[in-house]
Amino acid sequence: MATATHLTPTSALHANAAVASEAVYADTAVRVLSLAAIVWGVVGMLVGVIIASQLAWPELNFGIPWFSYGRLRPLHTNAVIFAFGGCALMATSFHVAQRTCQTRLFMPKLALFVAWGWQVVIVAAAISLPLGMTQGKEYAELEWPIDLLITVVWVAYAVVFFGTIARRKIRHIYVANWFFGAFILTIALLHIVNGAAVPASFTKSYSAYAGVQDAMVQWWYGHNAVGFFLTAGFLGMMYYYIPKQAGRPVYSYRLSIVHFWALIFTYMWAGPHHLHYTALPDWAQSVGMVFSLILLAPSWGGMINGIMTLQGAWHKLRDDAIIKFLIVSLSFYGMATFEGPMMSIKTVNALSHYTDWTIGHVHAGALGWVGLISMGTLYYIVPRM
Amino acid sequence: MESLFLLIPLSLVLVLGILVLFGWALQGGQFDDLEQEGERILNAEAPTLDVDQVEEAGGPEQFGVARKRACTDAIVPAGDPSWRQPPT
Repeated sequence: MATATHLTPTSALHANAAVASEAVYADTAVRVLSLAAIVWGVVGMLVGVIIASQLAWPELNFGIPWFSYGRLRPLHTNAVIFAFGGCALMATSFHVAQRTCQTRLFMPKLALFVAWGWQVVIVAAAISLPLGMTQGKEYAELEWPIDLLITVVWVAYAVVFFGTIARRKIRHIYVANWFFGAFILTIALLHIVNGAAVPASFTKSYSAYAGVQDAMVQWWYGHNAVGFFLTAGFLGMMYYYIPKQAGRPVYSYRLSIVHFWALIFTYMWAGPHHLHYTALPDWAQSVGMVFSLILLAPSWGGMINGIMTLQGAWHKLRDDAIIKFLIVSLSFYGMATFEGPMMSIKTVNALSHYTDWTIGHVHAGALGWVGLISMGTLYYIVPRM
Repeated sequence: MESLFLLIPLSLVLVLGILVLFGWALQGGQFDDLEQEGERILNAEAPTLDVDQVEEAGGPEQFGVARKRACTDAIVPAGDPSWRQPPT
């Protein structure tokens, strides 16, 4: 074969005892993180129901500060994004990297540190946020000591993931791993830049940025958190588990690569659409709007690629529950990535900003895309563990 | 708009990094023979079990594993009747 120069012939995988120790994966961290994802999904969504109820019945804060909407809302967002979503991403990236590289996870004990270290971060968030410790930046509320722990855990995560890729037995890096890799690297960059703060005490720090500058950095971070944590990472998930469950290869592998590069490039510039008609300079708002509109194309490329993977296997949608979760999640992905660019248009944003429409849009993407793809994926993984 | 003094150079460095990465991928043959790569993950002969599933004494029934094996044992060849491939 012309491609991989050190691909292990498939017949040798079965026969050779020396290969056996390399061919057997290390999935303990995957198990821990899959279970954690399920638990935090329930917790995070429960907090979501509580705060949603408080919007209708404010007395549900019971008059105590730890139960107030302002403190519980970031608990909800952090729990569903970083606890539920984060554990699902870590579990699946470890699961997928091993199987697509046909090699054991790099440093499985470090992977366990990542898994349990991340749980410590989550618990620290669950304690500190209701206590009112916050940096006041959306999806970056956690105070600086926890931010430091996140950095340590994230570096370890990158080491395990990229180490596994580096030790691959197949020369080609499967497209899902490109999405996971971009997610890991970009989140590291975003976390460090947006998290820059001056500590005043152990529980309080002040952002290194101020005013509209801080707003710009914050929403560069915030939109890329959505674009890389909630989109690129989960597209990585999608590109492995849909083909595996459908038993069909990705509809167009070429398209998957093209839309990957287009997506990661374009997402970086969409942040200003959170700041329309604010003090942010007009030209910056226009850049955000234009790139958000362009973003519709690579996003829908991913959606079409995933759904069309079922070509020749549409009948599986009738009876296979896992496929239903995975494909419906893509339809929500399509909806949210159409709605988003529309809402990025300044005239539309003048109507939608500061209304519940923004929350509605987030939940179409978060519950519809992220939630359903995670559920379908967990249904795939858990019986195999 | 002073934060742009940070954000624009940072973005340019990032774009440069992306171009370098893309160049490495192109030179390294990542984009050769793409359709075959899409099908590779469906390869049924690839190993499917992890260390905790390949061990002594009693296996999970749903995998149809007739008997557990020690980590150091060879993976059983595909024709062995005592071994049924778990779902891939």
